Amino acid sequence: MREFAASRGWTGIGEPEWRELRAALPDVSEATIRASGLAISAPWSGVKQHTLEELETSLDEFAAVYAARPDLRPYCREQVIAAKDHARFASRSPRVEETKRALKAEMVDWMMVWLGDPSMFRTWAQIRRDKMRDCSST
Amino acid sequence: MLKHLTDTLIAWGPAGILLLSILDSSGVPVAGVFDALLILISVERPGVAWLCAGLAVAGSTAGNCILYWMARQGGKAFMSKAAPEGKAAKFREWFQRYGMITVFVPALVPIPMPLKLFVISAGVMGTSPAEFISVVLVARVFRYFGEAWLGITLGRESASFLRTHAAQFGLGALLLFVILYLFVLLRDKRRRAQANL
Repeated sequence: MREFAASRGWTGIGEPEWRELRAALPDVSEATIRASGLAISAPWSGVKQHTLEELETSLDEFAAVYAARPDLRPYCREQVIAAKDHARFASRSPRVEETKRALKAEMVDWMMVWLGDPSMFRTWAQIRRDKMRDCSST
Repeated sequence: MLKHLTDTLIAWGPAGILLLSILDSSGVPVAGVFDALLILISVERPGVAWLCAGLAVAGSTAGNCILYWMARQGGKAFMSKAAPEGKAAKFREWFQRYGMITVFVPALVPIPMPLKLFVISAGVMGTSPAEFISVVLVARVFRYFGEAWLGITLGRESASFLRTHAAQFGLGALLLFVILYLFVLLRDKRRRAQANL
């Protein structure tokens, strides 16, 4: 994957690069491309959710794409729904440690807000962050 | 015109029931009350009552799935077409709070309730298709087979039975609400306790 990108002189993957990559390597899954370590822009990057901060940034990027590109809205929603399902599965899995389960449950809420209304997400996230800060300081 | 279309579909018998249930559940307004129609057919033609109930379940599930998929793809833009923003936000909020209970109760109880907006909310919020279909299927099986049974068992007395027991049905629905609400409270409490660990 990296060789393919390097041979074309790509420094990052945007829409044209993503489409060329998918056409050239149809058998390679989106998840494999994302795991290659190449810098991929939203929404092709999928929703990143290793930390809450990463999720917030990722959902902000998705909201920007959602607002600017009506043709990409179904794809954006598909990606967020998949990420939400993934987080929900982790939040309910007894094999996942308690703190991570709680984090994943919180992430599910964040993605649900995005799915309900992407344009509201920024304001909601700010309020939620403030509330979380207040709770942790008391 | 709607009345004419509905009458034509009724004249088709079981096939009409199937089409009517798909239309009714997918958001197309049809004249008349579908539940009353199913009971009436069960009274008049008991031989096809179970078939009609089965077709009503299949058609209604298919119709709800159409609505759900459109909302799942369209998101907020689709919901905005179905309801004004303030109302849509309220329904989304209720759905987020109570989950699929908001779909189950109106799908089960033959009292007029806003099922369509909750189905749309389920689609917008990206509920899993398996969960959605199973909830609608269970609710509709109880509702339509129950109505067919009522029509077969009580015959022409069905209408008067429903009238005289309307209060009990209302009470039953209320009880169901309370039980499911308590369940949600308990679930939320457990989740909060887990989150605080």
